[in-house]
Amino acid sequence: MHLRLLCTSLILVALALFIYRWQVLDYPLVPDADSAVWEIEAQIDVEGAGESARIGLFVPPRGGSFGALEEDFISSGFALTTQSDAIGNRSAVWSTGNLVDRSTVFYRALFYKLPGTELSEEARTPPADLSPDLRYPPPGNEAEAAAAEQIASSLDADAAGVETRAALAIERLANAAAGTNGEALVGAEATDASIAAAAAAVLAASDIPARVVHGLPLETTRQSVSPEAWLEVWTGERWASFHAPTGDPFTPTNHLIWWRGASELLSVEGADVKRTSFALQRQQIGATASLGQRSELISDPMSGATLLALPVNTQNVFRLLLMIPVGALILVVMRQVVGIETIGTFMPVLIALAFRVTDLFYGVLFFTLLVSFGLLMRFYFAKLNLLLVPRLAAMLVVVILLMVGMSLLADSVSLGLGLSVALFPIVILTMTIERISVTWEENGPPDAIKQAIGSLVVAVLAYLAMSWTLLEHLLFVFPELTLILLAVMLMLGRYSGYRLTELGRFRDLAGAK
Amino acid sequence: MLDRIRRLRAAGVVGINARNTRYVADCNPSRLMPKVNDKLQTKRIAEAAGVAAPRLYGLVEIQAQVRRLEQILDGQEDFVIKPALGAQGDGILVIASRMKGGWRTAGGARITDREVAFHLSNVLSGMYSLNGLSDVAMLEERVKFDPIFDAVSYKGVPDLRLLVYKGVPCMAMARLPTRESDGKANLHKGGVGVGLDIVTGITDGAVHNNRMTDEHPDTGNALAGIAVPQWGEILRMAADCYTQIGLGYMGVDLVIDKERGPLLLELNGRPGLAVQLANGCGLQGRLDAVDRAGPDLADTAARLAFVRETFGRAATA
Repeated sequence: MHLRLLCTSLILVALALFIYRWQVLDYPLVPDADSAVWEIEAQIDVEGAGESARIGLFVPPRGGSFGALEEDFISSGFALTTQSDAIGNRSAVWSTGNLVDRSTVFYRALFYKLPGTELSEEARTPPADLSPDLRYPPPGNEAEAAAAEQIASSLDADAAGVETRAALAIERLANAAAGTNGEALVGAEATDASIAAAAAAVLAASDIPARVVHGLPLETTRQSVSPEAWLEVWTGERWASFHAPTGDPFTPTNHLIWWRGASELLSVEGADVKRTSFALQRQQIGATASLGQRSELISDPMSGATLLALPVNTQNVFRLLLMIPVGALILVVMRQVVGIETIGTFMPVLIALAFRVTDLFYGVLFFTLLVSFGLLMRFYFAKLNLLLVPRLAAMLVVVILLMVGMSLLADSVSLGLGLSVALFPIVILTMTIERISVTWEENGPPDAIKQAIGSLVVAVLAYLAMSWTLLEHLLFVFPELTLILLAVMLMLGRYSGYRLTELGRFRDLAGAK
Repeated sequence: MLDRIRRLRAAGVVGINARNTRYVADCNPSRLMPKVNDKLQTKRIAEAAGVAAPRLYGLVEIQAQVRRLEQILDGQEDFVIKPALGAQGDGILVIASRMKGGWRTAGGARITDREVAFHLSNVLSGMYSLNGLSDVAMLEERVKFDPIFDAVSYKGVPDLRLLVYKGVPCMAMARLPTRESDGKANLHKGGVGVGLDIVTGITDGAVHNNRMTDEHPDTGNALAGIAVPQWGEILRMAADCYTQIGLGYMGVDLVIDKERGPLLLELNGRPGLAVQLANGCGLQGRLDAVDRAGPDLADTAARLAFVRETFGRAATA
């Protein structure tokens, strides 16, 4: 009862952690599930006139539904500072004392879509908590304010809710004829940004908080993109987005928000901007690889517990270590449920580990050869009537010499194969040979051969299970699954059913009744 | 396969996993295991309790004593070398007589003094002991076997194995050596196990290499119908061993000496399950009966009475 409780809780804990990390944190369930990572590059070419220059560029703010994996600010001869302003915008400012000729600054970043939340926290922050700087139209412009008031009052008749009003405002402003209030607000050359800004002013006149947002749609790889602008309107519980100039509501899940407000993307002093370009590239990097990078981003305690944050060498050690329980479970099942006898308790698992390096065919070949030659030497030593410990030590030396010989032989067959021989566990092999020979002498060759073959069969099965890529991936990304293996082992520890081999052994008793 | 499992379960056959979990792990606390793993301790406990055992001539405990063999033997012509921590009869050397320059083994082979000394060294170094622990060699009286099993033994040592559960002898068999088992009575080495009626001590069916048989593979003589002498005394000794040792699930190995009667050879804390095949009968029913009787079986007399009443031919059939 106690054991059952323990096993059930182990399994429940493991499953809970597993499902949480899989569903909520979006950890990949299969090894090669690609998750998209966007590489964005903004390039600004400027030409200086020999004076001090300053280039300000908005860069995506922290938070939102994308996280930055890497960010690089590249320039030559510029000093860089990054700033955040009161409304949450971030900008990079490059400055230099003397800009003589053409120069280029880059902003390059990798963005990853954060898992889970459809609406980022930022989309739920009420306007009251935000800075009052985000005001439309900018204070001081009486004419625009008056125009906005008029359009707002003309909407009163047609629009009931906040969302209808926002959509309608954008639609009217986008289609404003020359000489109307709409045109006065939007400006002669209507852009997405100016329409959105005008709509924000109109809504502000009816006391509805609204703001302009600039962002990049992350959809396909494009050599050249430019930021889009749209309108965000506070509905009372969240910021709803409306497309400009159509006025259609949408959810900007695929839009990387770059900056908010009516300001221009670039603010340059002391130099001429020759060219501004954005390039967007969708990179397919393995989900597992991006996991390591993104674990720092997700501010969830569970995401800290990923082995992917470790250095690659250490990761490989853990990949291997976490597969050992699988081999051990195979061993337990083969011993307790099937009833195969093996030499030494964990010998097959350790041999299976060696097989991972040599591959199955060569592994079985080397193992068989090493054990056979070792046994021949052991039988010879038996004739010398040596004491136990010196004899074991002598066997250890023989095994090492055999491995050296076999390495040389193997390397002449295929380069690199020789090294793999050396990875067989020497002490385990020595003890294996010893056990086989003792069994051989005491219980006869059939028993010894049966146990040796049994060990080899279990080693091969353990190897096959341990080299299953999916399993390796699962255990590495979700190490909590090891608890399930533990629970199964604990339950098998009280397994009292027949072994498969016993069905044969006791068959006379089955027929008796 | 499922059908086979169902039929085995219906026959009350206990499997090795059930033995290890429900009986060995649950009934045999590991702190008690040294009492049966160390034959020297077993012998001392048994003798203190009035259970007869082969006489101990002496011990070889350290390498230096190997040379003192003659002194320990004190003129004995035949003896047995036994590793105190040995298992499954490994490392036991039976010397039948002295001959020029050495000894003759029970198997008839000649063995030199040097070879005997080497064997003793191996025993001391732990070659036959569990986990390779360094060991002690016991020099014991060689039992003069009662001729009762002569017709159905091929050389070596026939012995009796009683399976004792919570002090109640539940099943028994005689283990007879064959040519294949090289004079040893261990069933997994090819010995024959002959089922014994637990109440009367009369042989019935038998098992050889896990298959049921009626005759000895070497002599061809019938195995059924042999009555083991002093059976009542044997049952009492087995039940007494439980009182002294306290292991719930235990194998008691005895031999019958021509002169001294039944002698305790050793105890086993993890007795095997071949006894079921030898008796052609599953063990589960009897173990469950003992569990049901529980506290009624307070002493040896009650337990032996329980055996007669519950496990008799009439009662089982």
